[in-house]
Amino acid sequence: MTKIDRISAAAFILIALVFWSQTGHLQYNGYIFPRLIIIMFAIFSVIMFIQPSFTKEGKKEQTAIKDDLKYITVVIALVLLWIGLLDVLGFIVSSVVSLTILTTILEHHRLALARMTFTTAVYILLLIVFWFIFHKLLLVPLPTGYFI
Amino acid sequence: MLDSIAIGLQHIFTIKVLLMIVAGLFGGLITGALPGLTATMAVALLVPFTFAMDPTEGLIVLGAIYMACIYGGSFSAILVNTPGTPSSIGTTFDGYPMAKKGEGERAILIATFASVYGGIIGVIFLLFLSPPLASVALKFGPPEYFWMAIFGVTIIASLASKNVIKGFVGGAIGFLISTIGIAPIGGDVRFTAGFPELQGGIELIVALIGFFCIPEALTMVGQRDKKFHLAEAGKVRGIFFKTLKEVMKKQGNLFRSSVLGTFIGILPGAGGNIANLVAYNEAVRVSKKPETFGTGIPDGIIATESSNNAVVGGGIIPLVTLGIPGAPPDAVLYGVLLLHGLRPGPELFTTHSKVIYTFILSLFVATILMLPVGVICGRLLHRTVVRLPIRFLAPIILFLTIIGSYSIRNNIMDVYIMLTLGVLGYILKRLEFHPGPIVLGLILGPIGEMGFVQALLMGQMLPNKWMIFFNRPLSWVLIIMSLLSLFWPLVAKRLAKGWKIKEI
Repeated sequence: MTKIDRISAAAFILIALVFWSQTGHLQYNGYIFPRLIIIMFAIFSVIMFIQPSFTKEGKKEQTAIKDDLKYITVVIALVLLWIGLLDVLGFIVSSVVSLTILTTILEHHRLALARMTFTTAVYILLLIVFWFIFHKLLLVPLPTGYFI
Repeated sequence: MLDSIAIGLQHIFTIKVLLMIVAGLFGGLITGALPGLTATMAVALLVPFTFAMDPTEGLIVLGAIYMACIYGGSFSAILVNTPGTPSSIGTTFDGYPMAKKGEGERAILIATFASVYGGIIGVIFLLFLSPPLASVALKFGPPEYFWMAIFGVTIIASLASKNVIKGFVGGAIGFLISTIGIAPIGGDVRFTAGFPELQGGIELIVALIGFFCIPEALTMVGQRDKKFHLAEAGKVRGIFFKTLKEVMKKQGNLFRSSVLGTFIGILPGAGGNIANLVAYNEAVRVSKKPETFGTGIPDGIIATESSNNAVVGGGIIPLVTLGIPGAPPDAVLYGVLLLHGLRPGPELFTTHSKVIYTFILSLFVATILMLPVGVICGRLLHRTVVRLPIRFLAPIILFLTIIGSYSIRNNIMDVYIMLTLGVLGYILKRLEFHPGPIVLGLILGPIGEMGFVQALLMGQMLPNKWMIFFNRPLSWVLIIMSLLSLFWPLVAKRLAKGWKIKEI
């Protein structure tokens, strides 16, 4: 992990500098504590940068990250879209659509209409129960859009 | 006092009240197990339902919800590595590894027994030692709060034992995130990058969900070939009594963590979120095998779960004696007391002694009833999570993270922040940063900053303002505790070496 650790430590030092530059316009009471933290952050990042560690496990880990990334990136993008759609399609509709797509992506078997219909039906039922308990019974505000 | 206790007992042991307690416990457990729905939210949401009840019954239900909610947080901490409430952060460290090994049911039972034990100790302190303990809490001023935050930072050494430097970097990241938004003193807008939505700062629960839930869900997605998230163990006969015996053998850990939880609960502003981590740190420090913590051992769960439930009783002490809420859910209880015409303070123990003693005793009964209710709910939940394929579990976790972070402030921006922090948390996890120190920094940041700046303002009257941090006896107690905590691993090593030489 040495190389990755060094890159991340360098990034942290850079972040510390950016944060420090943002404290210039603040009053004493506003900057004293953040500056203290920034200094500590930078010091620990420098120690992390120079800390020697040479392990074989690190290399294995790097390959694992590459393997994971495909699905993870797709899921992050989908979740972003889901959040964006919450205020447009509404809580139930956007969640049913997103949950069904996510489940289908993570499915091991080949795409089958019957399975997808079953999954969608389960999610519709689950979300209606959830919506009723939280929105109607407990009066917890849930995102609203053109639909529910 | 005895008269009031007798009347209280008479009031509690009716079918109606007992059913109300059980209903409150079920509600609290479910809310606590859902990430994002905190004890404060559960108590606040159910306040309107108590309007129709008489004051005592209303308080009884809310007390049961509060107690169960803190305990319920352990379910998701153990089963999906996501603390249901901030009070269960530490439970993820050993609970989740246990569940991964196929010992999820045992972990839940340990959490149940420890929670019941902690809850009882907290209530005993509340019943018998309220006034003297509350006066100690009043002696805590800004310098002490600052030192308490520093003491909290030393916990990082235990949380990130694999790489302490990475632990401290993570802690600093947490502290830095906590400074985003309007400064608590002076009102400067800091580090918002021009986004007005960030002026309110980053909500702790939102960050907690992001740093714990999202990396876990993304890891599941990355390992979708595994089909199931947790290993399912075969049925173990007599697991209930075996685990009970095992937990009860750890009296030292149970009692120490419960007392710590009670004391931290008494301090206004510090609640279960700090107590569970401090108790975990102390359990590591005292243990003869500190290196086993984090690998899935009962001691870790015992420490965190007994301490966080002891906070409930502890937090109510300053509330009922001084009218100062010890933790956020206590602030809601404060409102409920006022709504029913009960003014917290000494008057509560004289004029309204029947109401208050009934409430305290109901907490005791609720803690005892938490055992059967918790075991039933915990086992059911465990079986569901174990048998739920990843293709359903990961999307459901993502759904709960979205709803949990949205419902804190009904703000869609919080959901985006949660996802951003979650992705950051995932990257940091891959870089072998433990989420514990980051979240610890987030928790201690506001307490530390407020204490630090207020103390500096107080120090203006001294020739050297920085001396304010060193001229109070209670500050020195905390300084010594911090130094001891920080250098304990070195001291322990030296001591162990010394003993070995003697043995030779």
